Amino acid sequence: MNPTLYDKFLSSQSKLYRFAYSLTKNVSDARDIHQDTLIKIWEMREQWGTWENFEAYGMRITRNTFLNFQKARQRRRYAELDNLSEKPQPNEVETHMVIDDLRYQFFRMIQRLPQLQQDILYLREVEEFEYREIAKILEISESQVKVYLFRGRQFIKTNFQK
Amino acid sequence: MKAHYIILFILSLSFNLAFGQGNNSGKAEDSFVDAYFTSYAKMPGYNAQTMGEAMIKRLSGKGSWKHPSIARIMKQVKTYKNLSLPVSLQFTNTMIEQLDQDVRKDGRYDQYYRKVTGESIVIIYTRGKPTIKEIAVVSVAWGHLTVSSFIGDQIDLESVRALSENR
Amino acid sequence: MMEAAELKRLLEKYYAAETSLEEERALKDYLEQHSAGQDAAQSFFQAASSFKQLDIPVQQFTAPEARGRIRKLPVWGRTLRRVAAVAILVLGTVAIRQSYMHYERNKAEALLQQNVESDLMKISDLLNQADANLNSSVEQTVISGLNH
Repeated sequence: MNPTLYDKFLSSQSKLYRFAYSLTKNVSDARDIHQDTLIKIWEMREQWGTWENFEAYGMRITRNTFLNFQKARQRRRYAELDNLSEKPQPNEVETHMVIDDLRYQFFRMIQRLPQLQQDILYLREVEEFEYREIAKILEISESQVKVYLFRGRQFIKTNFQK
Repeated sequence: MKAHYIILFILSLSFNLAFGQGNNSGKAEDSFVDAYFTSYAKMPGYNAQTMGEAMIKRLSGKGSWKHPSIARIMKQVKTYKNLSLPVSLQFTNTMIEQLDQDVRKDGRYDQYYRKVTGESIVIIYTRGKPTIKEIAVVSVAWGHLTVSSFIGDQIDLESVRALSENR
Repeated sequence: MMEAAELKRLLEKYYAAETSLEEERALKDYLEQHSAGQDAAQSFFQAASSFKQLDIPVQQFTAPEARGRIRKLPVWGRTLRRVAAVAILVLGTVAIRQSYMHYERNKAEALLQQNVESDLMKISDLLNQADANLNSSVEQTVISGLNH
């Protein structure tokens, strides 16, 4: 295996975990998504050489894993609602939530924005990706990235200007 | 889940009234956390931590504090306690009202500052006059209650206040 | 030192989503060092920067070793290899357990330390807010007194 690619695989792990955390907003789900993502990336190692931007590709896989995870959770909730004899389980996500003031503040500032705008703000402000990289990760056009980033920042300016 | 919370909450409230804060039983060495929140230990998701004098000294000795001003303040602190637990929004007001009553009855703590917004409540309490022996902060936000308390022989509020200017 | 006009221009450009990454970094650096700005972007940048300290709470994923070509060893060679493997496994388990315990202890301590620091900052911010509110109410009283 190409050692440079393997290094990229290792060095991108923190970034991928942070992104998983920003999507799930809690440690236990972020850990699951991160592990699933890494396994998926590892299984695709034969294709690494063809990936133009390793990190952007990893971020995209993280996001898709999160979306699948959300769908699965939604389906499980519907199934619980259908089966009225079963009591709903306590929401572990809430009880395991870890509050860090500043990260909480970040989530609080962006929480009223649509998920896509939240993701764009995270990828630009925290991970400092270029517009074209964000477009690749989120599978949208570059101009959409700019428009949504504009709306997100205007929201911050309007709502949090002291 | 909700029923679970309600039962535990009522249980803990009645426990407070019967044995706890109503009797002003807090010892002088107790922290704010011990005096008012020990009975919440039955709540699901309750998490409490303490940093004792030895650990504070060790961290100070290693120069671990991320800012010199923090290091200076931590020299005045002997114990740090922190607790967090999830609370459902509908009980937040009852919880804070109960706390207000108990603090008034107890008489050892002074409310220094209270900030209430649509989403959160934060209250700072101090103990000791004129020398401050303890500073505690209670906050309820995002479905969680957190309480932190710093205890020492003489805590200088002004150096704490100046901290955010020096960061 | 960035001039006020330049800061204003950059902030406008930032909110219009027209800044380059370099300009955004310059803006972040400047606002990080100058707390008097009081702009929404300042607290937003500060909150965003906190993610950089977020550690992965589990052991990192490392790739399983690539399988080499399997060569048949003689019996003594295989036995020796098994004994060595068991020894490595036992020693490895002890070492991993030790380092894991050390890691867990350090992590718990680091988290507690982080709580102390962030609580002190929170209290400090609140004390400043309390002061600011007091000052503004005093100002209001003085001004309303002047009007009478």
